Amino acid sequence: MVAGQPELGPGRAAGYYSWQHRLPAASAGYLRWAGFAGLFFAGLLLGIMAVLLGALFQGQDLSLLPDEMLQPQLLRLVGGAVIQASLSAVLSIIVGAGCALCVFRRGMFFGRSALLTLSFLAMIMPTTVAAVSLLSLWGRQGAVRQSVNSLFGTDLLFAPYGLFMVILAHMFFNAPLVMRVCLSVLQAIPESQMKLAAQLRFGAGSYLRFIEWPAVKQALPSLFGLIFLLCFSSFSLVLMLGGGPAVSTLEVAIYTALRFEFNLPRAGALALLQLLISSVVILSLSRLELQSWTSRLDAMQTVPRSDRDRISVKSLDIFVVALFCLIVVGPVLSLILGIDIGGGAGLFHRPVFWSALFSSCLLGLTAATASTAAALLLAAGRCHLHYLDHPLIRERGAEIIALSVSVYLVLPAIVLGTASFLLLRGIADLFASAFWLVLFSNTLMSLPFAARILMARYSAVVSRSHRLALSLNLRGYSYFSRIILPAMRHEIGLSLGLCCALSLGDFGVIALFGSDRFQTLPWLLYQYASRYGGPEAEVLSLLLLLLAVALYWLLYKSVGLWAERGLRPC
Amino acid sequence: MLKHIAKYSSVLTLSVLLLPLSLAAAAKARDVLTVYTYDSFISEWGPGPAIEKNFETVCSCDLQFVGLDSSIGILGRVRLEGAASKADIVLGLDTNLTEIARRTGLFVPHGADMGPDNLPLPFDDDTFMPFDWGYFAFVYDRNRLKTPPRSLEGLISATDDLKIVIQDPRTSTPGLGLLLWMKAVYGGDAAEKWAALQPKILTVTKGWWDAYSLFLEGEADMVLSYTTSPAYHLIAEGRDNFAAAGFSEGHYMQIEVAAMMKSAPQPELARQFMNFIQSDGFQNVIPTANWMYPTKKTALPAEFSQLAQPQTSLLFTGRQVMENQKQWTDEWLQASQN
Repeated sequence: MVAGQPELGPGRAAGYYSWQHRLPAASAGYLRWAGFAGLFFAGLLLGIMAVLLGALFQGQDLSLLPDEMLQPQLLRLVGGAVIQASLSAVLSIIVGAGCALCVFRRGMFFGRSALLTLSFLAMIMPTTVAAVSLLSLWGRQGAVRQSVNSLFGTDLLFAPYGLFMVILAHMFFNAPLVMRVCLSVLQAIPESQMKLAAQLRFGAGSYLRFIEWPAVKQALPSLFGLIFLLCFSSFSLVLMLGGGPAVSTLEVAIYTALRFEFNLPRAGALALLQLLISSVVILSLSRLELQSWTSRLDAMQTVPRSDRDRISVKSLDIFVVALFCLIVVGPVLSLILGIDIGGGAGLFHRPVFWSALFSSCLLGLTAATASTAAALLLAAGRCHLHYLDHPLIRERGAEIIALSVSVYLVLPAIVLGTASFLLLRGIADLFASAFWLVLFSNTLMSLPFAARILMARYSAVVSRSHRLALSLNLRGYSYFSRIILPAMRHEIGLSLGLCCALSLGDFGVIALFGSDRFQTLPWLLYQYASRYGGPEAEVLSLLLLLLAVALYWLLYKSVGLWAERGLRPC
Repeated sequence: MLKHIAKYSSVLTLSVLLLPLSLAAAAKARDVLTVYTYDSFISEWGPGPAIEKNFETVCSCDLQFVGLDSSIGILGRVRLEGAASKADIVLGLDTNLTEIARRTGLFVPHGADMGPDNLPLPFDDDTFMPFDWGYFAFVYDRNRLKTPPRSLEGLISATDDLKIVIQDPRTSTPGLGLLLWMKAVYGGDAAEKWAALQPKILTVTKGWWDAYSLFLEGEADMVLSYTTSPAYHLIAEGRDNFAAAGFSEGHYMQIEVAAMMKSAPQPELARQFMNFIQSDGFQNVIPTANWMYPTKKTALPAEFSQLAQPQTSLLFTGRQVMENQKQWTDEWLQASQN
């Protein structure tokens, strides 16, 4: 629910889309604080980033900046990266959303939860492990390529190293996210709509046109933005699978400037260029974003559908889900099946493993809580901004919040790390604060994911429930615990679980600050691997994935229990 | 509302608050010598823990390592910190970085009386103290590649079926090593040779691990690594199928060095450590923990005799590298993008 169209036109097919109204300003008074708080928080995030970026330019001559940014070689590189990122985003969305539609249509089926769990694992696999697993299917010696070869006698697939392999790897990481978000959007479609459609004997096309597409398309612009930015700034994956420096990203140039040349202003200029491109993408998408939809507040129930049993529809569903499995689930399975568990058992006897496990769990749980809370605050800010009278604040506010959500995607981690180092070196003992710095960066890292999951749904729930809340005089925490939490428990659970998993798997800034006193599981994984890897590294990556799933369920279930408390009578 | 939040999060908050405090409260009684190094040096199976133990028994001090993300990361870190750095010693730069490091003026002559006696080339530097060294080489699996090339020229002129995986010279030490190797052998013809090598290069990875896992996965026939890599497979895994191809033109070297900070908070301890580097307590740990050659003549494990022994050692001076690195990197970029 962004500024823009206040109401959808009357021509829209389903009546409930025009159900949503602007709140009369007076009645929304109690919501106003949330708008300002969210806006303030967003401004704070952007302010911190501006200060950090500024630190790189301290005492430097700024007149050379445009020259640094406009070298033809650099612009060519940026052009290539934009094409790569756009293709990655579009294809991830097609495969992910396609799979979500098919899974939604089939309702409950055998293997559904296995599909959801395994594709969840794909999102958080450490880059190198994921790349190797992908290559075990698609590489020169990969199973898929070998079977194509023996079937047709020649290699009909794309080149195993090059642009398309990079895009495929990006699909592997991002299509599951698209699938999860779209599925949760689809499951929020009001039951009455589904019943009506079944009564009208809708075919698959009519379901898509009148029910599913209007729901799904709301989520797509922000997903496109997120994936574009992730792929635009991808680094080691692009180098590993790209086949050579011809496929590259701006991040590589920033790394070179910062590390090899130790040229802070040049690194700053390149980071600024990345920031400009990313901001253009974010802001143009935030204008495109469509008004949110109302939806039911209850849990998902299966409504019989009239299009499910056709042979053509069935085969389409099987084809799409199989394609999704080939890209996403296959490599995960290949990792799990290929592991030599016995060889890595020595891991459990090492005290460093247990301390890393503890740090990682603590970090994952706190970062997940922090980023989900931050995303809820920003969601509240963005939703309630809509009810403010001042058109300028309304429009600029939405842009500020859209930018602040993606702050970590806009500036590379190495730049953030170096800059915060420059700023904090005189003030704080950085070795002792390693935990806080990593927590802060992990929170920012998972914020864009949390926001994608929570924002649209938050607006929907508020627009559906505000009159009820007003009449019951629910406000503050009771509004949250009795309305928002029960209605959003799936999304909050998903967001907590995903953010926790993301920070469990993040290697990020730990190495930049360096300390022998704060070690996490990915750090340990990297340590094992950087000396000839071996079974410990494989077992550790599997453990990391299992831990992510375990914490995901723990968080998801706890949110469910907490939400039930909110539903109990006073 | 606050009451609710407090109720649910107090345990979590408490543990979060206590973690860094308990970490910061680590031993403060003895003098602390702080050594910045790269992170695999201090991992549990790296040389760090044994060296720490050995040095602490002779110095009655507390040796604390700080593991940073790479060799170049160490230099970047002390440059950012300047004279305010907590570091007494940096350990893990290599000869490609010494001249750049010297120009920063952050380091002082170490004044140690013990020097290296096991280097294949004379190395004389009053500031940078070598602590181990190795040769870059292409490693292959004997079961998969029966007739490996015997020279760099042989590799370049091999059929395009032979696939190698290398690292990016902008992000990785072995990657930079190959860039300098090509330049040392071919000089002005290097660009042409890079272009001829291009069809055999499967991909160019960011770091060593990415390349080595591709190789182990069977994607590439050869991987850019060290002549000592097969020693790891022999000793730690008992596998004798890996070997490094010996090239007749010679192999480019890496010499890893340590240096003392001008601003060292504990200059006496730092000097003691610089002297300690050439002693058995340091050198004996190197071969099977860092998988490199020691700089002092020590008894090597028997398996080391099975490794490729290059006849010619190639090495540019730190100054040559500093002055040409950017131009040579651009030359490689040009050659490999066409």
